Amino acid sequence: MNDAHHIAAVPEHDQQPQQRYGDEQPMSLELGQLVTEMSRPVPRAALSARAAAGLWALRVFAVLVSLMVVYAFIGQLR
Amino acid sequence: MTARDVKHGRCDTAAGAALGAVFGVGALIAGAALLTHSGAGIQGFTGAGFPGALTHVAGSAAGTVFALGLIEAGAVAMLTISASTAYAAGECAGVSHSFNSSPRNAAVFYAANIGIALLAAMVILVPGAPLLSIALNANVLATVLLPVSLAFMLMLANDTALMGPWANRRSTNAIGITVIAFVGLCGVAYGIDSFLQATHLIGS
Repeated sequence: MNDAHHIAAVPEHDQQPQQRYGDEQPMSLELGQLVTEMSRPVPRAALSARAAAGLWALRVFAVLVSLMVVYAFIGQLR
Repeated sequence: MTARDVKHGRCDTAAGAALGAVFGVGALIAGAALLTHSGAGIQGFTGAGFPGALTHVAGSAAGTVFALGLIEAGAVAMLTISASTAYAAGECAGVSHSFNSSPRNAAVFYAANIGIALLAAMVILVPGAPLLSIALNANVLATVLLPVSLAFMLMLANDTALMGPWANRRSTNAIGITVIAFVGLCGVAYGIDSFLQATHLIGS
């Protein structure tokens, strides 16, 4: 099955913007476009084990360093 | 807008980044020179300290222009930061969040936008508030959290189903990852340094 048939088989409201608009993809900045695009449900992203581990490392990094900054700020207030 | 406008957007972003870096480096060098000149330390730069010190060295015109620049930066930051907070609040609450929506349809969005601006104004007006410490630590916290947003942005930019032919190339990813690593390193370095000073493990 080629791309054209595949795109035609997907209902319009489930298609990605690239599928719907081709090369002339609107950039979702006109009145109401952004709201419409953001209210369209998208499937959960399938992450590789490496990407998931990277995101967990980012979580730990953000929480730990944020706590250190907050502690330092409270220390400066005294 | 169409895909043809992407090129203009990229030029605009590149010019903004270059000009921002040039003016930032200029302010940093001027600040370092003024610190040495007056010996007042960084606490002397609270309020109108920086433009005042600049006036003594480079004349009243330079000090006035810098003061106007600070006022403009504050005005832009007040609008953008309260708006971005309102977008985040609306997204977390799962309610309508856009300037395209009317205040009646997006009450949380508009209330958060105005509420954050009022809260910031109230904090600034507290007598004797440690404004320099608040400004520095808020920026460090923003820098610490920035790699998280940048990583998600990079993942979105690599999503070919979403971005189509505009998905990131390998060279763009290399630049993006380098920037994220550098920003994260700077944030964590300042965060650890402040923490060690607060716990008196190293001298200030």
